[in-house]
Amino acid sequence: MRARLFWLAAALFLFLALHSGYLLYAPGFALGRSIASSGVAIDSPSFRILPQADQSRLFPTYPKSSVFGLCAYDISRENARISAVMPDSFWTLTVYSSTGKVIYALNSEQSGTGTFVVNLNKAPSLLESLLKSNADAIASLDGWTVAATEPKGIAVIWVPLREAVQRSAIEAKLANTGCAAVAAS
Amino acid sequence: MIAGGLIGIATAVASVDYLGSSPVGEGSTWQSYDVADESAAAFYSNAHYLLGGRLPPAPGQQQEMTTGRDSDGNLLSADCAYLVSGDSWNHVWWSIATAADNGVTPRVAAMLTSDQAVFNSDDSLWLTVSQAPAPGNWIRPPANRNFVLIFTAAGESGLAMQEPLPDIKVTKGACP
Repeated sequence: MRARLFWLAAALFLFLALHSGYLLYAPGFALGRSIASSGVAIDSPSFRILPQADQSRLFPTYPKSSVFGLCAYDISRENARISAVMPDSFWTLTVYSSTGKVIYALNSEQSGTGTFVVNLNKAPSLLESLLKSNADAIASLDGWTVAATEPKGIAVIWVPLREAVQRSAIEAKLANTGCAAVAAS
Repeated sequence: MIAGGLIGIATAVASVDYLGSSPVGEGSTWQSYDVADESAAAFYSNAHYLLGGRLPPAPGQQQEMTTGRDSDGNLLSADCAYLVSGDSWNHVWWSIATAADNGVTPRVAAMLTSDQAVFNSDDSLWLTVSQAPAPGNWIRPPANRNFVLIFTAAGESGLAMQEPLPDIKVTKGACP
C-alpha cells in the first residue's frame, strides 16, 4: 500500500514537473532556435535587413515579399538606441523580449513621422524604483523610451509591399535605420 | 511513473491550444490567440506562437485568426473548393493564407493580401480556395488532405482600440 502511494506520488510529481517545465522552457527554447537559424545573434545591438530567404522561419504567415528589419539588442550593460528611418508606407515596429513578450509596438498610423528614436533601457529593480526621485522618472525628450525587464531581445520592423519592385527602394530607405549601444546614464 | 511524465508533456502540449485559443465569435469556427497582457490566456497564447518558432503579433496592432473547418464545422479538405466571403472590414493591411495543417508551425501554401484583392462593389470580398484556378480572387490550398486558413490583419487603431476581427464565412463547394 505504502509502495503504491509512493509511486503514485512520484508519478504525480513527474507529471507536474514535466507539465510546468515544458510550458515554461520549451516556448523560449523554440523561439531562440528559430531566431538563431535566421542568422540573428542577440549579443550586441546591430540592425540588419532579413534576407528574403530567411523570412519564412520567423515570419511564416507574412507575405514573402515583405521587408523585415531586425535589431537585436542586449541592454545588460549598456542601453540601446534605435534610430528609425521608415519608408512612406505602412509599417510596424515591435520590440520583443528574448522570451517573445511584446514590450513596445508602434505603427505608421500612430507614429506620425517616419524618422524617430526609440531608447531601450533596463527597467529599474523594485529597490531602485523606490530609491529614485520623481525627477528621475521623467521620460527623455529624445524620442521614446522603453524600459525592458529582460536584458536581451529583438526589435522587428515590418513593411508590407504593394509591388515586388518596391523592395530595393524600401530596403535602401530602411537600411538608414541605426541600432547601437549607448552608455547607460 | 513514466506514464505520469508522458501525460505531463501531453497535457502541456494540449493546454497551449485548448487554453490559449478562443472562438472569434459565437458559433464561429475561427480561433484567435490573444497575447495581450490583460488576457487570461496570454501565457498559453504566447506559447502557441513561440513553440512554432514564431514571434507573436503585437496586441492591438496585428491580429491573427485561424480555422481548420468550414462554417458548417467540417474539416477543410484540399480536394474541395471553398468560397471564403466576408463584408468589408477596416484593417489597413490584411492577408488570408492557406497552410498545411501540420501542428505547430504553419507552412503557408498560398496567400491573398489586401494589396492584391479585388473587392465587390459593396466592399465585400469573395475568395475561392481550390486546386483549379477560378475567376476573381483565388488561392490554392496545400497538397495535404486537410489544411487551415490563416487571417492576419494590421489594424489602424492604437493599442487601446482594437479593430474587431471580421466575420468571414467559409462555404464548401464542389468536391470532385
